Amino acid sequence: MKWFILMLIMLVTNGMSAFGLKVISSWGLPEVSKFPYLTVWYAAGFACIAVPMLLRRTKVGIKEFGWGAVMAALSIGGQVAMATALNLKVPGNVVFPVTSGGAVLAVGVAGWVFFGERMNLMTTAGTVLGFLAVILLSFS
Amino acid sequence: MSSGIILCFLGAISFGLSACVSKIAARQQCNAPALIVSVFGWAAGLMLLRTLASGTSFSLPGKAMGVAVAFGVCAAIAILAFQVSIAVGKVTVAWLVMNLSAGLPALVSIWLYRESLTKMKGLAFVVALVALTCLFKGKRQEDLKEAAIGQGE
Repeated sequence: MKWFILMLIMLVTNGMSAFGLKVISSWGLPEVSKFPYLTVWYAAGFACIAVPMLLRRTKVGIKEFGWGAVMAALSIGGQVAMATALNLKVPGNVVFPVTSGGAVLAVGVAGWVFFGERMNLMTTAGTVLGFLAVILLSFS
Repeated sequence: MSSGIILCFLGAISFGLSACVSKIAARQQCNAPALIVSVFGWAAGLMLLRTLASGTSFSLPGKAMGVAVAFGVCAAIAILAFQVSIAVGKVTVAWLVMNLSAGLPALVSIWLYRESLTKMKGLAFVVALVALTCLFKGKRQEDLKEAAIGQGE
């Protein structure tokens, strides 16, 4: 049950998290506003988890500090690669399906090869259809 | 163009690796909230440096600030849920669900900004819905199988 609730939370919150850029672009804010916007976006996310942690006196260990840095660098690296490809005039309907679909495929392969994740028939069907849906969503 | 395509693949690998690192961190028993605080702390710092390096002033209208805070909180909750979920489930499925969530802002845009519902979008929503149903049913089957094995022991 916990897993299903987590998936629903992810669907709603992750889906909406990127919507802010659409909102501010509809207000006609200049392109350079994107960087301070994303700084506040990350800082708000940081505060939202850090404050309850402070109240519970939970500390960030060396492992979390290190892996967090790697994850942040990889995430920003992906964004920079995407933005640079768009600046090089690669059409959006190529950039988004390749990066989103490619990442899903890469994680699927890594999950199978490195983490030993085996799927039943229904999950395999869902994964294949999900991969297709991600490509279609990025195209449209 | 070809270097642009290579960058797209590098972007895909970069995003994919970040999900794999999440799984490695989960296997190393990292505290999920502490890990996410670290991710957002680093990302906020790097983005602040990027803002300052671009030479633009750090001015953001109040309403844009409010939007950034609201959606930044959403992102932190989403990534925390992802990190907790991969400790009990498959990273492949969780990552797929994260990507399928892109359908939600597309739906909201259609409703809020009166964007047209193209055939492609419609098909994407239907396929995404069927995929999610399969993924949820697949997980249910796995849980039932594990429970049956547990009872047999």
